[in-house]
Amino acid sequence: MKSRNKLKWLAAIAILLGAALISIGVGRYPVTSMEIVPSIVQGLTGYSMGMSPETVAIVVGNRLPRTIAGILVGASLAASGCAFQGLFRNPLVSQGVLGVSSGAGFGAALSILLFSGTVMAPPFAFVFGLCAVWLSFCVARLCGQVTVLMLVLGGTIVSSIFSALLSLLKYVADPYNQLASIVFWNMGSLASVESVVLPAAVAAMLVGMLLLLCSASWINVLSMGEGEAASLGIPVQRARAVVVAGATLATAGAVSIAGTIGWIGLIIPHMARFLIKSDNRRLLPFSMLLGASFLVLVDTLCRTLTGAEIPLGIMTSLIGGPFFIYLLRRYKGGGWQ
Amino acid sequence: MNAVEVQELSFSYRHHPVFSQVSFQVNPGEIFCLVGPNGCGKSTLLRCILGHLQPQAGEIRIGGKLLGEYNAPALADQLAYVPQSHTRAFPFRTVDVVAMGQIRKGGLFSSQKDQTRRAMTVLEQLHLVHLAETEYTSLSGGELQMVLLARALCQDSATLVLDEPAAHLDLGRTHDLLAVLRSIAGEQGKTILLSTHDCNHALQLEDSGAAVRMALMEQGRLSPGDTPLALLRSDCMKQLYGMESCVVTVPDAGGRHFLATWREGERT
Repeated sequence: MKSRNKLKWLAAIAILLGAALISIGVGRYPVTSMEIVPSIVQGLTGYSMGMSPETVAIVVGNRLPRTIAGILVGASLAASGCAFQGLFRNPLVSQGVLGVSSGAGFGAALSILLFSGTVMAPPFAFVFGLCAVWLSFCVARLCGQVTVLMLVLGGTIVSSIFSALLSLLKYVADPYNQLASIVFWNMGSLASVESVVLPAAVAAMLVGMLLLLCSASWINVLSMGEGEAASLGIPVQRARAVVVAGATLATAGAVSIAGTIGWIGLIIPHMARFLIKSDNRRLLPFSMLLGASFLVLVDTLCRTLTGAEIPLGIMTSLIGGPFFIYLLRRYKGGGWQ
Repeated sequence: MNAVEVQELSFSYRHHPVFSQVSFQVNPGEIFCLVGPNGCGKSTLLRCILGHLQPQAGEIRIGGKLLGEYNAPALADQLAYVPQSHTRAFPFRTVDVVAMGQIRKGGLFSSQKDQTRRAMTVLEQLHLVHLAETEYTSLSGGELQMVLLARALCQDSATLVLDEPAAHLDLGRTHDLLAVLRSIAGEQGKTILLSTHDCNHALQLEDSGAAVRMALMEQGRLSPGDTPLALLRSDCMKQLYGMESCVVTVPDAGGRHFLATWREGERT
């Protein structure tokens, strides 16, 4: 039992490393796996490892940032979804439950209308994502003490308001340039991370994930229900605020550079749960490994399958759906019947 | 100093009063049984004492200190809770659920091993070791109730608050429950506050040597605490449930038993 678990961890780490190597190596300018590490060393330290400047430029300037962004975005979305499922005691919620995704989608669309381009989309998406979650909290607080049920309700209301506003922006947008940009942005993509390096988004994702990892055992107890969690000695309000803050930071950071990518936050935690069981102290990091691998692989497919890039959000669902059906069959529902 | 002291407590949901001006105290090392018909407010009273609900008036002291003065971990040192019902959201391992009783003691980098070891000890004590690795979503209702009891015991608090702990238990498990309650009250000096529908539990606990007091709850009022025998008088029970009853001593069955007579159409 113990050694089998260890094997699963090793496999998950190996898959992530393999996925990273594939995504750096594959593309219009192929780089063999033997060239990748020397190129990175040469590019970062300047010490010559005998690699051609073109290879170094492609690997370090182009593919490595995108792969790292993919790892961070995938891990952030999976961790946030996992944490929210535990917090809301509901396996059907995902990272968007408090409105962060629809807020970010609206923010990005607004910036596209205001500046006729996607340059300002990441900061707008980030800020409006945070605003949406804050609004959900305000709605939940209207009825006195904040409960999980009121939070979900608040999130649903705020989400639908931001979705409506997004539709409004789409309706008034110029259909040839702006509308296309808005629609494309909302399908998700990692294509823009090469040009715009966003230390803020990376920091938000890292801080968010760290907060979630640190509160993993709190999430376990919170999923017992608020009363029981309080009686077990957890400061419920504070613990919940930390989890929401962590998940929101991580998601807002991810969405701001990659657009709205659904599905990962919902399905990856379930895949991880089949493999490693429900204890969030193990489930959260395992979900992050799976989410990162999944996103990096799907992104590689997106940019290599056809001449033009396929939006990420489309591919995650197209590949994730059938794979999840397979897992459901394989694990016979995994204790969910 | 009383383990739990409640004074003039009143609670209502919106405009629906549940109980008013309820006062009682539970002494350290004592087993205090709340008895009353369905919906009389036993669970609500317990949840006020646990701090889950905010009463509109009155005062609750735990171990001599006002309830509001405790932070969450300190209150968990005082009170452990076995809920009447529990919604299982995720398939945790049983031993992990029990180990949650120790969560307040775990820092960020503390070892899980100590918590798991303590959980296993408690599971052994309750004859539940065979369930340790099972997903707790697959347990039966009675097994779940025992696991929640185990979690509360694992918490090692001064007072145990149990809301109808025997509701789903079979005969053997009910015996295990009562035996554990008697032993932690008698040998470890823990205080126990429980609500129950089975008046026999109070008699059996007292017959086995525990210090037992009881109070009857009816229509938002609580009777003064007294010995089980004093409160299980037929006139009290007639008023509470509208049924005739008696307490009989059956030497072959190990002591006193509370019996309600069952005649058709007679409940008033």
